[in-house]
Amino acid sequence: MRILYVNNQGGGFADYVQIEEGKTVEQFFKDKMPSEVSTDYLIRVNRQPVPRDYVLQEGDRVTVTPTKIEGAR
Amino acid sequence: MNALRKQIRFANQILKALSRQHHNRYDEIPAKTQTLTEKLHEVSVETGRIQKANDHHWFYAAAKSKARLERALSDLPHLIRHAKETLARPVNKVPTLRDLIAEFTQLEAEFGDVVFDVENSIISITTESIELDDTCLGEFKIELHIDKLTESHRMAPYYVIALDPHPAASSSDVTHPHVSNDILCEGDGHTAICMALEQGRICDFFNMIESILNTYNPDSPYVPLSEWTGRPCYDCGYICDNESSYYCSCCDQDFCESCSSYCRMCEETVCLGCGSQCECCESLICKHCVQQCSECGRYCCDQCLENGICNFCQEERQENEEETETIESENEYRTAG
Repeated sequence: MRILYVNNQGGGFADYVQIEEGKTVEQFFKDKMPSEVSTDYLIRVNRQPVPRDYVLQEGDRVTVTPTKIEGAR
Repeated sequence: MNALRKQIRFANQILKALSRQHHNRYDEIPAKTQTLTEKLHEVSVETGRIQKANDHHWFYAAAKSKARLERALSDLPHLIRHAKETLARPVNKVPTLRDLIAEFTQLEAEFGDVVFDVENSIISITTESIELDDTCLGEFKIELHIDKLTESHRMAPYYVIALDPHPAASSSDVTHPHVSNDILCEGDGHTAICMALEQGRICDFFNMIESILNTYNPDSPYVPLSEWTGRPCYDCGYICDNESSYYCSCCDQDFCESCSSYCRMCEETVCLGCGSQCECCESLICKHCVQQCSECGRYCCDQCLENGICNFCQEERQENEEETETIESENEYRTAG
């Protein structure tokens, strides 16, 4: 099934991706960002905070935004 | 104007700005490829000249054209790469009005109070008080200027304003290690922020700005947090903490250890600018302890003056007296003889 995935880390990514039925948002995060910790990110599904075991549905919009981004001078 | 109508008005403004930006992206393609086109024309012209020069056995002219052709060809890979990068950048789909209203709803859920300033076309939110490495920086207002969205590829369309400034001691313009004159240096967040604005993801934009404000990058601040508080030396500007800052009572300013000393007479702290040197013993003295010799006018400390006369003048006096005595003795001797 297809969901919209927006990742605001680094250069950013916003596009539709295919995922398996029954995948939870936690599993999806681990697949896409295996070396990252979910508590370092704001994760929203359809613009709402959801529990980690929320099962993604067709057409869902998942946004991942880092809570720590380094600025400069 | 009720809240929803305000939001719709803002959403329409944003849609207009993003549509203009969307069209501008196509406008920039010919501008970016124009130089490549001109260079290709140059290659064609020089090739033609070489052919003509060969036909007429003008070998010197052919050599000149060959050199120009080589230069033109060496520029081509860079120009082609630049043109390809321009074309490869995705032209973002303009969001719908419904998408933007949903963005505003999410913004209010994430940040609480969101201000829609219709008159100035500004959407703003206020962060919680920011604290980095035990340094309190206060709350910040993030203002997104909708009328500047069209030019967001050239200049940031937003400001980060300290509401309760705790600026760096060395510069009142630096209210956060990564904010100077209300402009945030986005660092790692720059590309994602630009993309969020181009795609109308307003809530993501504000979330990322807040993330940058809550993160300290010690490798690249305007002012490092280790130098945030303290007093700047009035002379050299070095930031001193309270224990290594010295107050000069002559000029009422604070100085670092290198720019201050103490009066050898009264032992009060004095800056190197207010202190002077005794012209006899060269000790550093303050303006309260300096006195002037009544004979030669030299500025001296108390210890180098006796009855208002400096040591040099006293020595001279003594020498003169001794000389006078010697002459008088000699005169007496001659008279007696």
